[in-house]
Amino acid sequence: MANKITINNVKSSICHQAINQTVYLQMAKKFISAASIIACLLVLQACQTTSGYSKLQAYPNMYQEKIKSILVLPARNTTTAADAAQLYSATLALPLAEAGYYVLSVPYVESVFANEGIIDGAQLSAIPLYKYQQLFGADAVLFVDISHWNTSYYIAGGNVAVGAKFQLVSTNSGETLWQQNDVVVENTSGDSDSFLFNLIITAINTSTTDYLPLANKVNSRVFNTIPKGSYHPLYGQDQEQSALIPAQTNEHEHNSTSSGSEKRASKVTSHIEIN
Amino acid sequence: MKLAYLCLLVCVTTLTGCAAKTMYYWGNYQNTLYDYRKNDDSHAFNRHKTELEGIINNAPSKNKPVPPGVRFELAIMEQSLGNKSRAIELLTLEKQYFPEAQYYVDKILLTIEVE
Repeated sequence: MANKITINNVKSSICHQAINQTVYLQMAKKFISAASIIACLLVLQACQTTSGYSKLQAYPNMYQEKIKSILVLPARNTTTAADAAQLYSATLALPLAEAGYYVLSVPYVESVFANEGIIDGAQLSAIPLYKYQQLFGADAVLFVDISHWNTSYYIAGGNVAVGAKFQLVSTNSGETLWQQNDVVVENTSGDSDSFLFNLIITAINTSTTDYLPLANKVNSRVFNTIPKGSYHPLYGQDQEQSALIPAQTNEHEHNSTSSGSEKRASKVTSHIEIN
Repeated sequence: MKLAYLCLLVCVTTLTGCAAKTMYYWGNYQNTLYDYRKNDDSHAFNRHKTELEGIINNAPSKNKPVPPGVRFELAIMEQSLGNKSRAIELLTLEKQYFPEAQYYVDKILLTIEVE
């Protein structure tokens, strides 16, 4: 009798488990459906660009002047990294050309300025805008200010940051056509609980982090807001698109912050900078 | 569940639509130029020059145009090696594909032809 009861008990508990499993399975399925619907909505929202400040509202001169060619001027480098300007300018032709503009050969333009003794953008302030049209036939010039190009270490942590400010100016009217700025910070800290281990991992991550992907990240965020040029299929049709840089999401290991969050930016600059 | 699969499908296709597709064929342009900037030596020069040639040769098979400035940049490199006729040929092509380049290309053509 006692045995029977035990067997019955076991049976019922197995049965119970089976029921529980189907309940869990159903719950899981429901959860997956809900999650994918939510993910779907989020993705669609990310692609949608009509919200907020429109490109026409932000950059009306750009739609009026209809510039075709852009001259990228030597960057003004306010960081302590001597090669930042030269390296950063290597990344600028791609996003501008992809936005539909003719970009005058960046290495060539730089060599012309270098022959005149101009290496840093700070030396350009005395040059009147019409000169750029006379020399190169460019409709607009892009002023670039590099604000961040540094590796910083702090106790058990590290960052690599790239940041820049852009201003596109018409060589015809002298008007500012478009401007934008952004900073991308990558956190290179280890995420272990061990202090010493983190220290080592941070040192390795920080010293091997390349600036190129960060520069490209800044570019893709910033140049997404420029009205498209004549070589782009959306030329003249993107007035209603957003002129705002999307807020940066905290990815798994890449802690990025937009220029808006001053707290983070100032935190970076106050660290010891090793270039 | 069907709705979930549909949503997943929409998700995936939208994400692929969002992924950066370039209008032009760039090959490895940024990397070799960046490298040439960083290590200003003949190896880096040759690597970047080979990359520019590769972009011009491979763009048709990728069904994408050669980006603005690539032929121009190669022309300047050829000229620095004394290959005048190849430089003129490339510069002429640059302004043919991109009329915006005509102004500065014509200026350089004048100086090359004078040399």
